[in-house]
Amino acid sequence: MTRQAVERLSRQYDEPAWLADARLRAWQIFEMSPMPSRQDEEWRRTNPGGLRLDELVPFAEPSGQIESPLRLDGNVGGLITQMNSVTTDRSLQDHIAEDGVIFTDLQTAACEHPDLVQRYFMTEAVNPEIGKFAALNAAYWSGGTFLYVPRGVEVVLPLRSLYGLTEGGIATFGNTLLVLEDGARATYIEEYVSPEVDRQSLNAGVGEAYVGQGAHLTFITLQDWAGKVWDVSTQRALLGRDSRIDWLVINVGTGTTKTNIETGLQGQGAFAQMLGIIWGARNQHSDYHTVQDHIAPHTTSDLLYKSALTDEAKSVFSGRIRVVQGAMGTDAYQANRNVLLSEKAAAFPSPNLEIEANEVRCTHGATVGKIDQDQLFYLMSRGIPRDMATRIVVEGFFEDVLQREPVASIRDNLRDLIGRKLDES
Amino acid sequence: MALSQQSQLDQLGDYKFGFSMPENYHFKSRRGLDRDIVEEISYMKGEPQWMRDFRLRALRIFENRPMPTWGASLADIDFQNIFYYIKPMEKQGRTWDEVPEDIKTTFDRLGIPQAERKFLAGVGAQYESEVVYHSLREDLANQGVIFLDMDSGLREHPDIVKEYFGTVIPPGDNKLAALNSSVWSGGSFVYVPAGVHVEIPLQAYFRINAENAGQFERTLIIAEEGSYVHYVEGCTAPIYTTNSLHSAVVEIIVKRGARVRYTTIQNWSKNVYNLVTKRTSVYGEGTMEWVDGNLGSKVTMKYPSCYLLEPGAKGEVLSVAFASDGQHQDAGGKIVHAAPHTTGTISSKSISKGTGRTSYRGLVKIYPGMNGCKTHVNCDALLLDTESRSDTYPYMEIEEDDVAVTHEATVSKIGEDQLFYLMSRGVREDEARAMIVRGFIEPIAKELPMEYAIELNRLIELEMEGSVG
Repeated sequence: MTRQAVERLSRQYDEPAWLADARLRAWQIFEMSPMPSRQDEEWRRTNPGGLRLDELVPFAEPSGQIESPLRLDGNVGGLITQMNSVTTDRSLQDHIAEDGVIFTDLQTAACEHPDLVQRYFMTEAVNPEIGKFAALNAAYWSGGTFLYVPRGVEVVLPLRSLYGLTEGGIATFGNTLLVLEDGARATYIEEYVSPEVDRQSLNAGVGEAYVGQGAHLTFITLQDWAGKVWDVSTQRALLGRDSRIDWLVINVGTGTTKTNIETGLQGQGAFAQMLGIIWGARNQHSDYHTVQDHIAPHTTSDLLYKSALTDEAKSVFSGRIRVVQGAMGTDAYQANRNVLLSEKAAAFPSPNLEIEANEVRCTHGATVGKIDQDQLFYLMSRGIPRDMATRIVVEGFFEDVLQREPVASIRDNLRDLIGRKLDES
Repeated sequence: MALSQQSQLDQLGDYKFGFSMPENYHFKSRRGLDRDIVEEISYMKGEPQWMRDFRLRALRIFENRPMPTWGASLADIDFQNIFYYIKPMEKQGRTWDEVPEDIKTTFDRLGIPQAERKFLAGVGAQYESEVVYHSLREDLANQGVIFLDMDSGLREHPDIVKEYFGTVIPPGDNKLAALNSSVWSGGSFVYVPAGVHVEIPLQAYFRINAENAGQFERTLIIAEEGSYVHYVEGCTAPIYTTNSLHSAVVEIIVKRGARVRYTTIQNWSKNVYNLVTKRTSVYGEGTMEWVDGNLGSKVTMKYPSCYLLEPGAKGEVLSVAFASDGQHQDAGGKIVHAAPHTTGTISSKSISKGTGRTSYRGLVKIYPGMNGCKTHVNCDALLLDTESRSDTYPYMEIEEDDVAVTHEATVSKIGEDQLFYLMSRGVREDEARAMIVRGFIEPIAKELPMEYAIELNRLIELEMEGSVG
């Protein structure tokens, strides 16, 4: 990874000057910022020393085959497929495009809609200065996803991106930019998937969502990385007045994840629902840092992250509700539930509150325990063998999160996916 | 040769500085901290070689450790601008007139007797309870209980001290524990023999001629099998000090079936950094209860801990924090399950007023293989004003599946409905607010000895005055 490689990337895609400059600025930030260590609070539980950045190639051509974990093939409004560093396929149904919706890879968007992209891209929600990996992404990203929904337009069919990583020894830099103008509505689903790879690989992703006044974004991030893949990502959504985000994060992979999922409630009346399902098997290491940032008064957030862990899976949850001074009338909730199914599984929940306004209601809870023994006993007393009974109880554990997903086909496919993953272990 | 020189120095010290008659003595080390100062402290105290080595080892650790970067801001502490050893008798030079007005007023309002006030303010040489203390000491002595200041403990019971000192909190535990280990002075030494129940709480301020309200006090409590003791530290009256840093270490050993309760009402004056390490090793079927109230100081960082080392051990932390203008109370507790079938509870109540900031910070750790452990953590915070701040930072490290760990926390302001209810019954708003705050801390106040509970309530009333609007 070098400055020359950044310049080569800009030339290869014949990028506008502002973008080429932005990459170089980001590269400079990357070079100047120190590599995080376990001494940093944020990296206490995930050793960044385990990541061999210098052995990774920052660009890889498409290769191999991948399959969508969610198998939501039929009724979608648009699909972008990226293999390694390159967008290989993109589509958007004509009737959606006719409404002025833009759904394409970010590189194409940067050339075709430079004003729009430049206005939002890595400015306010996530910028290269927040950390070394965000800077690295800003220097090296390719492909990516850009969604723009004009004022008042509702996109009913889900829009999807499928990011595949198929080789060991590479680094990919997924980048998602979602812009919903006032009153717009859309459902966006992104899936990250890889086959088993022979060596360590990395996805250092960035995701940004701007949800305008009264707009409603449903955002599903699904991750199914293989064991040797690291994911170090930051995604942040900024919510305008009376807007809403329903954000579901699913991790069924077996890799190492250190991901920040953040919402900034910037307009009065904004609402954020943040859900998480983590199924941890084998050596999965998941480290989620969530932020519910209440900036404007009278905003509401509701977070529920659930993880069920078996084998040697480790789950870290570091959640933060932050209420800034003056954000009166905040109502924030945060819950993290962990079920440990094996002796070597481990959970490290740390739900934090930072409250600087007094007219608020903020509550959080965290639990760690084994599988509900009463439920298990009930099923086994009816002749269901232990492993089957365990599976049923775990499915039930995730069910209340799934029930909050309003689209039946997505809900059903998620349930199937979790069922398949439980069968695998 | 070194040895004989040493013993000569010791004799010289005894003679020249009259350490056997400390009440005649005034001594103050120079500002700052280095090897010479530590050696000087140890030499002035006429300590055994092992303690001197312990101090010097701790000093090296202190020097090599970085300052903690988490928690409250400690950037203002200048370690080289502090007197590390002041013979407490020096305080007696102070007169009642020199005691700040606000502290005198607080004494008045708390209804503390004149003699006690003088003692608490560090100006009185005598204190009525001296008689009480003497008869108490006799009772205790008959039961084989040792209750001394730490320096006397080291002189009179060197074997016991050597066996336990620094075993629960080694100097390497953290930078401030290392600092205390190198310059400690005063504190309490309590030894309760097997099966002995000490009926009345042992209170630190009974030890009048000792170096009790020290800056770097060091307390060691050993409860032998099946014994019980309640130790009470501090008092609700503000402790006036010109020192800006207080860094104590408290080590407690609760042996099989024993129970220890340690109650603190911390009310340092509002210029003090109060950075304290408190920890208990709890053995089989033993119980440790920390009752920790923090009202004073500028910044407090204190997380009383229970290390549950054998099955059946139980740990409990009750924490109350009240932060008003300019204060940051970073308090909480730790429960470490290092044996199966151990249980823990942490219960925290914090109140922030004006620009005050309270932070709950805690840890629940369960090591692999420690099945059947249970811990519950409950944190409630009350914010009284628009500029008040409250944080909750609980950490859980659970590496065993057969456990039950729960944590819950809420942050809110005083409920309008509660306020309305009281005011509709003719209670003035400020009284109503104070009443609600007292109700909020009631679950913990009721665990205090009665006189402390009363004083705590009065103190909160004082803090609440003028809090309307």
